[in-house]
Amino acid sequence: MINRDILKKYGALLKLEKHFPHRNRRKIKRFLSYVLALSALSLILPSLKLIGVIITAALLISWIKLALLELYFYSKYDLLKNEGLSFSLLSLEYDIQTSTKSKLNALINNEIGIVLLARLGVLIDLKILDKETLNQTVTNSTKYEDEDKNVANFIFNISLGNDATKEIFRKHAVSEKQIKRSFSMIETAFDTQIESEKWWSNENLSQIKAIGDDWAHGQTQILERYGRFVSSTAAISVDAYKEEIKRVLVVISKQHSPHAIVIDDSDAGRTAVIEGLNQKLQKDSLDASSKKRIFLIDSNIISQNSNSPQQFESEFSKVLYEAARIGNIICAIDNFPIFLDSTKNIGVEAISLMQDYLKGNVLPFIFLSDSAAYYQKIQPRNDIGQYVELVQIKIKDEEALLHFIEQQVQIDEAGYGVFYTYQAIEAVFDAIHRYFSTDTYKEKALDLINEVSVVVSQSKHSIVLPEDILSVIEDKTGIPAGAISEGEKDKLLNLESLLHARVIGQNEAVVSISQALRRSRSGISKTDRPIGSFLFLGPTGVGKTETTKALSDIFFGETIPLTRFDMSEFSGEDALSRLIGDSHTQNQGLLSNAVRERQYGVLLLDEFEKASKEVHNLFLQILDEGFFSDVFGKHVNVRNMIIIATSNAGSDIIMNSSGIDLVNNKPQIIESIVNRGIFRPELLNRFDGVIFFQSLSEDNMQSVVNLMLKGLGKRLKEKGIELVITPEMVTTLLNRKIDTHFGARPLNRLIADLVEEKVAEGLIAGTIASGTKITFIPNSNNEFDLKVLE
Amino acid sequence: MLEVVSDYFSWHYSQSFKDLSALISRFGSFILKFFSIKILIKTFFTPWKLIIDHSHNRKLYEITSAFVITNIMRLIGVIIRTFVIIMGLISYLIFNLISIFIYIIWFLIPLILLGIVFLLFQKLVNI
Repeated sequence: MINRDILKKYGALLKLEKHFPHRNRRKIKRFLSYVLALSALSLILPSLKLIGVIITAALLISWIKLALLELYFYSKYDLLKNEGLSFSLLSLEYDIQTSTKSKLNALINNEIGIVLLARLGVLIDLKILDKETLNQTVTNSTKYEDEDKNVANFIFNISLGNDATKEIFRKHAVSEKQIKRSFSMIETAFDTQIESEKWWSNENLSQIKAIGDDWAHGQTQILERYGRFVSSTAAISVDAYKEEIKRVLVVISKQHSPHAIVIDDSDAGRTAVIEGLNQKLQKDSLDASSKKRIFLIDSNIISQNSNSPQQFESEFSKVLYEAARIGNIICAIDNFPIFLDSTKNIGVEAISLMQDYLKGNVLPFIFLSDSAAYYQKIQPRNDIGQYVELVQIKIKDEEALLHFIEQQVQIDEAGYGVFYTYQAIEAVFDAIHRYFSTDTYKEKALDLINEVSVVVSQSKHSIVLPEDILSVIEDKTGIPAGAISEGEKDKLLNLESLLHARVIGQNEAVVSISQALRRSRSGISKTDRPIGSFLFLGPTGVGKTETTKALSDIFFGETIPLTRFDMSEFSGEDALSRLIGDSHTQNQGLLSNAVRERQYGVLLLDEFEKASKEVHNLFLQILDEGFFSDVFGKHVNVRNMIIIATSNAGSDIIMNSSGIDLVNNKPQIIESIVNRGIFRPELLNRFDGVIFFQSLSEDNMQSVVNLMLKGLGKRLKEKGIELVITPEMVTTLLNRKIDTHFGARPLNRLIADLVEEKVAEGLIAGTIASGTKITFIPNSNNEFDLKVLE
Repeated sequence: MLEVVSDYFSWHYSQSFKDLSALISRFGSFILKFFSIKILIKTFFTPWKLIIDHSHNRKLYEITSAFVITNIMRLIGVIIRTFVIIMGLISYLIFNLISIFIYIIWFLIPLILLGIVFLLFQKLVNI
């Protein structure tokens, strides 16, 4: 409840707002302005003169009254704001407090309440409640008096006392954070609206460009020709880049080497930093004559106007000389690495022309670049690096990102006529973390919001729900993120049996993987790690790789192939640079490229124990954070992959473990692997599961032979040949002495030698053709004779 | 609505005068800033356009012509700046005079409105 002091001070204002809100006053005032202009015209006609005067005077009085009322409103609004009070919250509370309806009913009919409840996604459900429910007394409003400043408590107290509304709030999972942030969006929008209406405010007056600003140091012809001064009114929102702007300001204010290079992968980000910096320079400068101005060189125009390297050198030198001579200029060059390359192509080393200025502080430079080009072309160059300080647009400020998303959402809402629920805003925030590489958060958020707004504005509904976000994500990335389809649901629930159809034994592995996938797809797993990560330990040929392949085929589909690395190839000194790129040779990394190409699926790391220590360290980060940076500083996202590392480490113990309960002896076996120095304990702990693959029993072997023969039968069927598998075939194959150290692997070779070879011969000789039915009869040599049945 | 009307009047004859003073002083500074009086005085003799000669080993007539052109530009600068400064100062002066009337009108406006209403009423009665 609003306390007495506030009511005494602002009661009249709140009353005015309740009965004759600001929005309506403005509308009527605008209408009156038009009518007043028309009635003033009527004064020209002599016949209407008297009545015209009366009407005009009456309209004028009404207009002045409204204008005075508005001034009263703005003044009181400012006072209220200066006291740290929220006008939106007070007017909402006042309306509900003085309403004759129930609190809930009043909330649903209040202008702010409507927007808030719609943002929380509950308005439609609340609106269809019957009158009786809406008028039900709220039972737990006792706390409400003490906590009137907390909007979440206020809303919860009104809504949760009633069973029906409680259920609606529960269904939409409305949280305290959602209420607070939704309300803060309403407040900010209202504040911005009011501030923009007050054209006489300091803020708005300072936006008007002064006549003599550009005359201070004289205009120069060359500068005008080859670039432009950055506008003092930013076209895009610069709020999200406050920290970066501050950093650049510190760098360019230094006495020694005041040069910065700003790295961001989005044009919007780089522009925002430059425009924001310019705004700050204009605003903070107390003395107009010391005001710095940012001059953005258009390198294309210089190149176009230069017919020879000499001419380019001459023109570019003139630009720099004049900028330095004028004295208050900061020189900015966008796409700096490209600029250097293009000048090099025409035979000019631009950096040597800038060298004198880079050494001094007369002409500060701000270079702009994307991260890949920076790490490839600028970072290795000491002649630039020693003078220039790096300012990278931050990626970890989650609060700033959420605020950025909220702002963009409101811009799109006005532009596309859509409305985002706060759950959808949170879905954008989560999706950006989960599905996109982490160095372009803001740009990706902007893209995603724009795309969703377009899609939703073209559909029948205009309310953006989390499902809309996820479905656009799915379209953009190919990663299933939207609602789980029936087919997928079956697959997920029966993943164990589907895997067992291809993997013999290995129950622990199959169950662990299936559980990880279900957790991930249901959205309850951590979004800042890979979908799942497993270390498969066990002797060769027991199904480690086969399990991985089966998982990839069943869950991700055969269209998304497995990304496979033989880690024994990455044991040398160059292992890390081959995986994440080499800054000297400029070669891209094999791992970074492969993951960028296919960021959804299974990443199989065979013989993981053979990789170098540096590679193991790289995977420490990957398993923990779900991304890594390549050597060029670009982030690579592995959060949508299942990482499976296989290893023979400890296989001697596992092989000798027949009869030992592997699951219960796991700690001892892991300890022995750690003691041998194969894997460090912190690396093993990073995996979601370390899974032992048991040696195959005789029964398992029989199943494996069956499976392999069925596989061959399937391949032959594609050629129109039917293979009849008999128990004798299986027994004969099992009776052949094979080296059990290699698990089921030798069986493949055996089937190839004894069965496939005969089929191949038959096909070439013409004894087998499409439509033939065949089987194999064991002979005295423990081999097979091919028999054509039909 | 009586509460609103009474609060309005108490605001009109107290807080609104503080707001009005702040507004008038803000506008005064704005006018000076808009015409860049301070900066134009500081850079009064700066050439209007900088003709920067990038050539080396200049001959005497080139130096002389550059000197002459620069001084012509300086003169143009002085003329334009003088004009803008005078305009600015006149505007500032007019604004200050007007602001006195603004205070008076602001003080009287409720009465003026009442007066007009009364006159209108009288006119309507006469009709």
